[in-house]
Amino acid sequence: MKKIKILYAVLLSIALLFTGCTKDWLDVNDDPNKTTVATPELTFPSGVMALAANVGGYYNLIGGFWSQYWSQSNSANQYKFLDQYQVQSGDFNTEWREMYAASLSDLNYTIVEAEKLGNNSYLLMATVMQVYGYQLMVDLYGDVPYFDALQGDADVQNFNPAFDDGQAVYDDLMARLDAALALVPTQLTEAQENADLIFGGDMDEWVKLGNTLKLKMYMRQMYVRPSLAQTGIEALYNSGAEFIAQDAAITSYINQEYKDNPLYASNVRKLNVGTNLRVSATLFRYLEGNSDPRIDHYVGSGTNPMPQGGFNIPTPQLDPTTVCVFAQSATDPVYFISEIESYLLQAEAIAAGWGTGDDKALYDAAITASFARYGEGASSFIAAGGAYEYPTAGTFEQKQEAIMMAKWVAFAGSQSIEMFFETNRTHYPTVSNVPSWAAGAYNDSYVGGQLTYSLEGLTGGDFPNRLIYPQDEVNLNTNFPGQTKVTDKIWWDTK
Amino acid sequence: MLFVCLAMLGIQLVNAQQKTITGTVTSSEDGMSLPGVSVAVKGTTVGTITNINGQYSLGVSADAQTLVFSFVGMKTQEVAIGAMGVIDVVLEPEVIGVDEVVVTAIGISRSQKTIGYSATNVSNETFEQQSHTEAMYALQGRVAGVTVSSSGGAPGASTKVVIRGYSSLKGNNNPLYVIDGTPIDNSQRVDDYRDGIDFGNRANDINPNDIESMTVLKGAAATALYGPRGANGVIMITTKKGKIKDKIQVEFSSSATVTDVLRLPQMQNTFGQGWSGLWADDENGSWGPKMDGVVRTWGNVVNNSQQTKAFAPVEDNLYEFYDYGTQFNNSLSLSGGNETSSFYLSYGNSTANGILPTEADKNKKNTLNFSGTTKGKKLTANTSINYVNRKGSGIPDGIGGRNSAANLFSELLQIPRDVSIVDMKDYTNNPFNTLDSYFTPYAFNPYYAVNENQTEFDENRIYGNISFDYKFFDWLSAMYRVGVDASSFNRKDWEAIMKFTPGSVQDSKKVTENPGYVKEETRNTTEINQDFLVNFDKDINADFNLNGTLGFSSYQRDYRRLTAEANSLVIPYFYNLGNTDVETTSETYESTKRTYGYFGTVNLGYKDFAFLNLSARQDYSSTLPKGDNSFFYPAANVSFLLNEVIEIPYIDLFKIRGGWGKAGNDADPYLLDAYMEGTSIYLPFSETQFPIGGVGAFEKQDRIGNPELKPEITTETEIGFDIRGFNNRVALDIAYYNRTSDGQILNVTIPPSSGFSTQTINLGEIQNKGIELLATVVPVKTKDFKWDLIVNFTKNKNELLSLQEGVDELILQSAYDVEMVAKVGEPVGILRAPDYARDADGHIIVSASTGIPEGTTEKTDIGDIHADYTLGVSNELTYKNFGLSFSIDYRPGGYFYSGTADLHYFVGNATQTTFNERQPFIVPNSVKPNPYYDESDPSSPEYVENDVAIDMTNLNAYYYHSSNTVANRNRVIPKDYFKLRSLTLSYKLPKEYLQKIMIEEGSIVLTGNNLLLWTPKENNFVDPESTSYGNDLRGEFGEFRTGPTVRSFTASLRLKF
Repeated sequence: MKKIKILYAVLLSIALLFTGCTKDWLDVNDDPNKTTVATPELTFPSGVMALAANVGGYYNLIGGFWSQYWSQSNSANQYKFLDQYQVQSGDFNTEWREMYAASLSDLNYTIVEAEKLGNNSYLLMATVMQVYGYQLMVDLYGDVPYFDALQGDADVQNFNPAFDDGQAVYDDLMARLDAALALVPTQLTEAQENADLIFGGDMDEWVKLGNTLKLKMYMRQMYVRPSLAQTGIEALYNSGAEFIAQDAAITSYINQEYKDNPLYASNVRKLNVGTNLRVSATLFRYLEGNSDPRIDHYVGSGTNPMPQGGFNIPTPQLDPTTVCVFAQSATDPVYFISEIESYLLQAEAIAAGWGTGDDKALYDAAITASFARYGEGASSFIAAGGAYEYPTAGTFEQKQEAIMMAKWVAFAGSQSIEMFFETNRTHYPTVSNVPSWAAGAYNDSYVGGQLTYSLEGLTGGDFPNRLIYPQDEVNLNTNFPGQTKVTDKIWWDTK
Repeated sequence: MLFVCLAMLGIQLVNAQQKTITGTVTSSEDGMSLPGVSVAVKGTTVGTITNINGQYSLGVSADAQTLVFSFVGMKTQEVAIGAMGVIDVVLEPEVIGVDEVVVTAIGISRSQKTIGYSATNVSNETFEQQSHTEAMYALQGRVAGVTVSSSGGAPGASTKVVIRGYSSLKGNNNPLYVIDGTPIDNSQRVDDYRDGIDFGNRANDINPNDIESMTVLKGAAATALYGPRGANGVIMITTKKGKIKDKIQVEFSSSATVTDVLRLPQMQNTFGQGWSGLWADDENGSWGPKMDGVVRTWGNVVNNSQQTKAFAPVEDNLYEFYDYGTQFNNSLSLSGGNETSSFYLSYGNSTANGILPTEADKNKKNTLNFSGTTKGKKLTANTSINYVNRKGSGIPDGIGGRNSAANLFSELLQIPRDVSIVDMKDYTNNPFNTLDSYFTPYAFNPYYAVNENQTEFDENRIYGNISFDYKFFDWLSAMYRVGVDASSFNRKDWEAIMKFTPGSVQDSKKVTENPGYVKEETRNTTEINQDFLVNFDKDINADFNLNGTLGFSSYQRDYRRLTAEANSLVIPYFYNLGNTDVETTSETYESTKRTYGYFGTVNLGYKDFAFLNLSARQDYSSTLPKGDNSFFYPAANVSFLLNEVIEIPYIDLFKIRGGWGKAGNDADPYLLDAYMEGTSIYLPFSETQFPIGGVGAFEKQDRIGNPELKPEITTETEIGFDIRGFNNRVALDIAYYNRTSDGQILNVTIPPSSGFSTQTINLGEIQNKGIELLATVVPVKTKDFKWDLIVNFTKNKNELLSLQEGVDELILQSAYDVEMVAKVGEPVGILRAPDYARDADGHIIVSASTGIPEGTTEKTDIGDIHADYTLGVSNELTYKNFGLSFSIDYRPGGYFYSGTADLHYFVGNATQTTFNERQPFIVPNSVKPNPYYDESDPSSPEYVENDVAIDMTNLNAYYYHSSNTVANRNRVIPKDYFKLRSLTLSYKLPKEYLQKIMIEEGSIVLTGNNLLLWTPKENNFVDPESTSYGNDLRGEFGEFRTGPTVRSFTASLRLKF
């Protein structure tokens, strides 16, 4: 009897065991830490902030070296490869990854979801930012994956997008901008407004930003496709398009780890040596020569400038403790398109005769805004006889140079990569034929504000014009077309 | 009860027929009397046991023919009674192996001779002798094909065990640990090596004194029954159980250990503080002038005063910083039992304080173990319950530490050769040592790090099992077993607020301040294992025996983690998440994984000399795609005892064995689908984390799901020989194995332009082939003296056979410009670094401005991480009650990366930096770029002879990895070592004296572990076994400024009442 009872108990426990192990029992592989759907107002900030992380982070760093705002200190080595123009495919691999797999991908998700929901406002916002991001990639790399890109999880599941012609990408971006700008904005909820870290959901500003972006893209093609640029800009003006008069920027950074300005986080907070970036003699001498008060705001500490590429200058010749550290703060905003940029783009379009309005007034407003950012007054500089007086009576070339020099100074450290593109387009600032440092001392015959070939440049006297394609695409994309050189020009660089 | 009654009845019957036999049983080993020996009349239940003096008295019936004397560890002896009234017996110790029973997969005990694969047993004597706090370390050098290493010198640091080489790229190459039939959790307490803290792995939680034996199952043929988790081999641990005894057995052991630094980097003693050849009293390095011994003022001026010191080397400044560590282990156990039930209860306690000054590196372990058995006529119940509490504290080293002040060893390594470290101890009252005026702005007072920045943990864990075994018939039984392993881990990290007084030296030098930091983490892990087994064992006829097991088992693992941190503190020295003026950030993670499987194993034996084993398992895993989540793997092995068939002179055993098996390994949870996750944006060295400006965000996960993931399959073939001869004086165990692991589950990079950057896929095949040899020789054996010699040799050849299509290598780990890669056609783990850039004629190209060689961007291979072979030799000498043993390990070949070497070169403390007395030199056979080179003019050379000497101003740059990428190659150094692993002197207390004070057995043991270390001259930096990259494949990359390993001296006392 006892035996039967025990047998019964054993069989019962087996039965329990086996019934517990039905198919449902194994059905525990849905990740409880993540979700499968999100709303546009949750993914839009991801896309925007990832874009800010690059525009304001390492792309800003590259732009700062190549626009000669800063140079590698001669007491450390972190960025000497940038000063040598020796960029490898592994160097900005991660930034490419963050642009495609984070920023552009999250903006794509936002666009798709906004379309599904019929949310035209978010559709416009995400389109503007994605166009901005793609333009950045084209300007950095030339041909980039576009038409087939971001389709890893699409029905076609394409892991190997083809690389598209940069100009074709520009044209499609422009068409997408036009389509998005033509939509009637949707009324946003408070949460949707708050999730717009740039304009707080003000759709008028987004339309203006879209217009300004179009203006910027047409101006970029000024020399490669002048008639297209002219027609496009004239059409913009004829339609009564308004441009932004305030910064399209992220101003939410605070002085706290993981919430701070991206370049500050990478270059200052997290490095043992937070003083790698020293104010380049190119910028320093220009500001010094013009007695520009902004020099005090660009210089964090120190008294002497860093010759561009002078990281091998022995410390007895140039005492690193006296060389100016470029000022950076945890709360520095990241600018997508600044008020200053908007004014200067308009001024240049007007000077070219493609836009209508007062180019001098816009130029003056830009300089005034740049000075005002640092609490300085610009009136004496833009007044007649002032260092930055607009050459109203001059040729277009003279006006363009004045506009570019104003842009160059204003963008120092804040929109460095944009300035790098603008220099490639216009070839201002001009190139000096003497270095800023020679024979173990500062070179007195050097004129500030003229670009100098890096003292340690490894490209035989040619300035860098782009980034080379990143390792991940080179190694893994079966449709990769072939590597470029850092000195190869971008397609629009034909002046 | 019934059983006892019958036994008593039997004895009464015996008493009815008068014949009494008496005698004494002694041991042939020492001639001492043996208490507790079972004496029985063959074929009856009549019997007794010897008393404390080894004497017995047994009444037997007149027709009784033979007496059987048996005792654990001794050869059973049968003596014909005849007419004798007194029978004295000398028992000989059983030679381990021949009829040894080993515990194989699923807890099935099998006779060693019947199994066709390698299963090596390590008995408790080994643990008792070496007195390790961490049990797994006792396997070191004892088992062929098994490498054991400790990752660092901190108390409680994890122990890595790798069986037959690395076969998984994904990172889990640790074996499965099974205690009394139930698998346990062996995860590391700190799962991210980047934390720089090693709080050990959980397999070490067991009290070594509770271990009866460990069996190492190496090949897939042996481990297939364990399913996915057994793919890297299995370590079966059998704990002590209560034995049949007429009283409660008490065992006590106590040991005290002193630890000391084993190896610190050798340093130059010629050049002192400074940089670029110039003396600078705020520099943290030894690039200054030659030390002249002259007394000068030094350091910062504080309150118009300054310290003085001689500009002379403080040779042992680093060694002096460290203390002796201490460790105390106590263990007490009670056990007992009768025919129907038994119990074992133990308490263990260990307290270790490491070599850092203060108690910043402590580790405490308290273990409680209960096991019991109750046997009925048909049903037997077993239970084993363990409770472990561990507490520890530590200071990050390696790549850990949120900021430089938190990384102690790096701070210590950089201090100039002429600066005394111990004099910095008082950093509160001594004005020159305070944060404000510490001599250099580039580092912080190491005593500050020791005292103000810490990590501590506290873990409670319960593991154990309960099983019921029911015997239906003599040949058929069933067993149900459930095991639980649950741990709750709490960790707290903190850093003090570090602010400089305005106007102070560091303030004026703009040294980065620390707003303070506190982080709390809790982790709960629960594993539940269930097994249901049906066992049968039947003689089919006189020649054939068939036995086997059919079974079902299930496994579930639940994991939950909660972390929260505050990045800025308000009240100093108060470490609570509420004490902050910024938002605290928190994170949670949970996961569940389940598997179940059916299995069967059948053993067929023929005439006690030929054995065949077949087994198979079908598994189902929750982590694989629904509908395609099962995998099947079979295994077979044969064993043939040649000596049973033909008589071979001098040979006692000649066993030939062969095995073949497969083992499957499933994936981690949640790899099949794509998800949205809370946004965290990558920045170089940092991140942007939401919420930002009051806005939260989600992003698409960068990893795309893989709905077609398949299990990793390992296939292994092995053949081996077990040969014993010369009256068991020589034993040889040889195995050859060939193991390939295919379809490695790995997260790989995909083109980011797809919108995703990684995907987990099956790729690649790794092969491990090798030979293992374990030889035991007894060269001398007399009544009083015995010499045992054990030689353990392993040679393993590892090769990556294939990888993802289109990709022929993967980077597994890197530090600066040194990478460890897996490359097709090569051993997994090639180390490589930039090479000299050369012109067409092979000359080294240097920079025209510094004379420093230019490096190539393509890196070249230096070597791989694997040993040519490993050799362990142990000698055990016993003379009467004395024992002396020592073991050495030799491991030639292989390379590792040393971050210690890197920092040492950088600051000019490395002996290698005194090359050429630091006088300017031109890199031999070098060229520099021609400044007048004209590409269009064929007569203009691109390079011209180099005339730029590297002078003192650039010498430090020459040795620095960043300004001279070729210098990275110096950081890859040979891994060869020769270690005096242990030296033990033991004394068994004489029984005749002990018995007077009611003690049965006692011994005193003095042990030294890791006493001596020899390395090639290229490695005068670190113990090549130390690592800061975790306890798996990545750990073989090397070390990144990890603290020193230790040697230890232990005295222990062991008593049995």
